[in-house]
Amino acid sequence: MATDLTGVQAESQGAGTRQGAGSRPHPTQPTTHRTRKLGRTGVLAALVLGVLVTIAVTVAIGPADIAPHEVITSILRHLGLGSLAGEPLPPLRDAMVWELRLPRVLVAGCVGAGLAVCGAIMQSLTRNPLADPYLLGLSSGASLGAVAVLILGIAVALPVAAFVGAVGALVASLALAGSLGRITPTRTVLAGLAVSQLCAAVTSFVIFWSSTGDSYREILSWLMGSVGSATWTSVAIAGGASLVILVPLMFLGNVLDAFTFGDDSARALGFNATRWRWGLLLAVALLTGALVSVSGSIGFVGLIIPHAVRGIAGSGHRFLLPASALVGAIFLMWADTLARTVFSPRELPVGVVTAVIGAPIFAVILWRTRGGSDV
Amino acid sequence: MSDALGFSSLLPDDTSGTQRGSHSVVAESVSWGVGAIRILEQVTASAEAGQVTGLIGPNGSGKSSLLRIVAGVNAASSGVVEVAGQSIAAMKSRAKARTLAFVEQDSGAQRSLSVLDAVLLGRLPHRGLLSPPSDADVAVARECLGRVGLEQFAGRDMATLSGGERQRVMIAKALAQDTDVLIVDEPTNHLDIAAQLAALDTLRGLAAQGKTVITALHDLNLAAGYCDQIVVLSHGSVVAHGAPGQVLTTELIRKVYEVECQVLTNPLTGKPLLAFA
Repeated sequence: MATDLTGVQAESQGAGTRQGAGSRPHPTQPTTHRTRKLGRTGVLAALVLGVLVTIAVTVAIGPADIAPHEVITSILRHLGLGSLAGEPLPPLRDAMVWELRLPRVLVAGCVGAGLAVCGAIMQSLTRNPLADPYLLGLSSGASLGAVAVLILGIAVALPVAAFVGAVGALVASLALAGSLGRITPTRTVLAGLAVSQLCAAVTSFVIFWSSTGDSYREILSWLMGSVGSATWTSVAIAGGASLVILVPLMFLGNVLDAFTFGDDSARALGFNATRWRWGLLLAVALLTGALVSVSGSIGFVGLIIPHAVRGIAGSGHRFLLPASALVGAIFLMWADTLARTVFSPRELPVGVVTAVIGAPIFAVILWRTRGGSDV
Repeated sequence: MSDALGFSSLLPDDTSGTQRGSHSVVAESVSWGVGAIRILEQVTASAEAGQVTGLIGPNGSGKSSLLRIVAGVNAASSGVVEVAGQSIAAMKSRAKARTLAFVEQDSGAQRSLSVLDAVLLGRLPHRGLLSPPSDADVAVARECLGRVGLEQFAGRDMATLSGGERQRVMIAKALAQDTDVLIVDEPTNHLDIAAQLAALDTLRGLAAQGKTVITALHDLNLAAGYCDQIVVLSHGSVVAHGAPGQVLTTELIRKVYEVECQVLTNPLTGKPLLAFA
């Protein structure tokens, strides 16, 4: 029975990409499942705390000197918990916290969380480590819908147009992939690329044709991804979408785990693979549409956050999804803080910051998948 | 068996209800196709508990398709598959996953995961949609790893295993589903001879514990050595069904595979041994 412990190492899948695998010692530590479970709960609790601290600190950062405890005071008073808080802030400082900085930070948090979870889900469903909401052209479609509203003045609410754009792009990608035969990961990616390029081209055309002077710059900054114009309305949209779509998605770790070895394996484990796949993709499209409508398309968050979390904590989705959401929120709140402070008083679109951080990491991921056949 | 090459219906004398009930898995008149292409044509076959039933036939004869339909992964376009007298088409997906476990040809995981986590996937049909694996699930998963001889591998990453070890982990995952029926598609693919024998020994051991094991095999001598019953598929139809000694004949091999062979007796096991020129 134990005949093939050493001799067959060379044919181990991926041996070509992990050349040290044969010589590395394999510790056979008995996994203490209960400790691991407790450890993960602890990590999630720490991340929740991290999100709260990040909110207090990043709201405090900016040209006007505001201390984190003032941020907390302002928030508590607005939430009607004034009894827990200290002295009220002067109205101007309070408005700066409550009306300007807090909505922006909250939107960044929701968008970061949402994109990270969308990325994690798409990577699992397409079994493609490079997948994220941009894969199926979702973001480009949402952008096109939003730009159409912004420039052409079509009388539809921005989030609705972005929804329609994202779902339209999803349907177009999958229809294209399906028309080529069985929907495989590779076909899906290629079809998504085609749809994404088409949407980007049409978006550019619309901007080029219709916009003038100032609106050009505004739209460009939005297209590159920015939460600079966030208001409580944007918080309502991003927060509402997070509450209705993102939070339920975070609990579906078992479903995504079932897809680990592919659709057939999911079916054999008692999951209706087709129904779950379409349902999840639709949810991802809706969430992406809502997020793009408030922030434009911010790249790389959906790609790098799930990878980072997997690298640290393994890939079980029961942990991956909530952890990605929390890390994504923390990441984007800090990225946006960088975007508005590094060249202060000028602001960068946060998409530029995430791209500068994300592109090299993307390259590393690409490099690590070399030799793999499924990319 | 005068007409071993013809369409041999499987239940010729099983007229009594008890006999019929003793068949753990029955496929009756199963047809299936993709678009206009007919892949399975009126396939009738059965498998018993406590036995390894082997499915052999040339490439494209419909082995994998039949296994996938019997496992409930694909639905037959006509005909029925019954497990212990119950049609699987009528079962809910989760109930089906508690009745039949399917080990497909190694497709690999897209993500890195530990051996124990891989086996724990087999417990998914036994717990709520939102529930985490319980301590009992972990205990079952560890026990199943023990049954394929890999208990000390629990903490290892799947990517560090050899092909043979990975195959056994996939069998352990199917065992964790705690089903009466185990369906394994080409368990010996890409394995060296030692790992092939180990995988088949594992399946024999499971049959000895009372499970119904159905497996597709390419190597006719392995099929002869390890299977209690062999079903031969050719062009989507069953052309023979019976014990290896009855089924594996020079004529049948010529007809189905278009190769010449002589049937000898394996001096070590007494089972049929096919020698090819």
